Amino acid sequence: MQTETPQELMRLVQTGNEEAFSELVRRFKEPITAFALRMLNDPQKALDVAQETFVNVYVHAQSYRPVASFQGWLYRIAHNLAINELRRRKREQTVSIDAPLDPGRPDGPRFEPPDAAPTVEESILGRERMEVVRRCVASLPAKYRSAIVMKDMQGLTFEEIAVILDCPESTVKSRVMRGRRMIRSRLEAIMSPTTPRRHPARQEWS
Amino acid sequence: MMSCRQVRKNLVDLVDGVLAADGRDRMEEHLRACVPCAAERDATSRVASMLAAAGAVASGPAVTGPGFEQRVLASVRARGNAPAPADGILVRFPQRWQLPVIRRPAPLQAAAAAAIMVLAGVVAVLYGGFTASRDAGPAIASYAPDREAGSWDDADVDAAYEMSDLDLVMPAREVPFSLRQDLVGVRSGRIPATTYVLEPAPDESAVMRASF
Repeated sequence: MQTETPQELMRLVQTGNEEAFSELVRRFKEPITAFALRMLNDPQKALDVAQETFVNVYVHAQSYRPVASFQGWLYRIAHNLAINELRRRKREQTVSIDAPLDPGRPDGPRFEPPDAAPTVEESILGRERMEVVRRCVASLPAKYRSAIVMKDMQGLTFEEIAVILDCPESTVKSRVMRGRRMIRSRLEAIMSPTTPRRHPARQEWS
Repeated sequence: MMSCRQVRKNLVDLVDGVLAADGRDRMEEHLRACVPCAAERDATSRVASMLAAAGAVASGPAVTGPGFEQRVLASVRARGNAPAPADGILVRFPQRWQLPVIRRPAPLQAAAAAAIMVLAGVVAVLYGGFTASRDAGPAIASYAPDREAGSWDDADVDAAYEMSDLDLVMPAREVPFSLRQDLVGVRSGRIPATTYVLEPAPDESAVMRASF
């Protein structure tokens, strides 16, 4: 079971083979859970979405066609479930960049910008920096978030993402570009909330 | 020399390292001379590596233990332990002209016939030789197109509508997301779905193709 390709395993799953299915789950549970977590920024929901993704893989095994990449198909299911979840909670909750660092402790420390630093990116350090970055990602509009998460955090190619999102590669690229720019300006905003800097993109163009 | 606009457009590929040597050289030439573009390149590449670093860190409490497979299997078994027939889910194809349609659940006999059609349809679509099947019964759900999304030429939709006897004809991109979700089949069996893929033919008319 460990040497088969995902496509081969799926063919077995289509015949009802649970062992093949378990192997697929083992192989892909980590990246899919990580993907869901980055999309949702909520560990419990991420786990739910990841599990639901695999349940769907099994239940809808018949509609998988071997011509399609299994990973792409899997991500598409996970992506749709994550977006569904985001829509469900859209009006209830927004992620705030300056929320307490530990969600379990509302009175806990908040992110505090250091005084002066060479660049915003370098000035946020270690774990705190990762947390702030993740929170910035979680605060992006969904379409930029999914592009950024898949490209920059999950390491998928533009081509794969284009198939998952069902849009042209050029669209994925511009979303990634804009997403990165948004993250940068959000980082700037929390680093220096009172002195907005001119955006580099607005400077002289030839 | 490339213009700033061209450079900005390709910056993401440059940072990604996927540009061919020729394109890369022409980009570098511009970046050496253009401070704002170079700054943008540096910024986007810094953000990209920050994101990669954040992505590489273990994902915290959601990291999946060995119970994960068991829970998934339990959940699958709770739903009846059998993969659903292929007619309950829609796999979207990356074609521009895809039209999801919801149809009335067929009576049992018809369902068996439909299942055969389904297989035929899937095979036919794979080999590109199947044209529209329009006898799958009347649609129950009709959805008004979301006109705000209307990047679509209405004439395209009208033409498609004229050609078909479907109760719902709309471009996939205009389908409200909640409906798409149903069609994508995240909730199996709740709504029987039929996919029609509409593709532009060489003479610019539309050709219906049915999948399952």
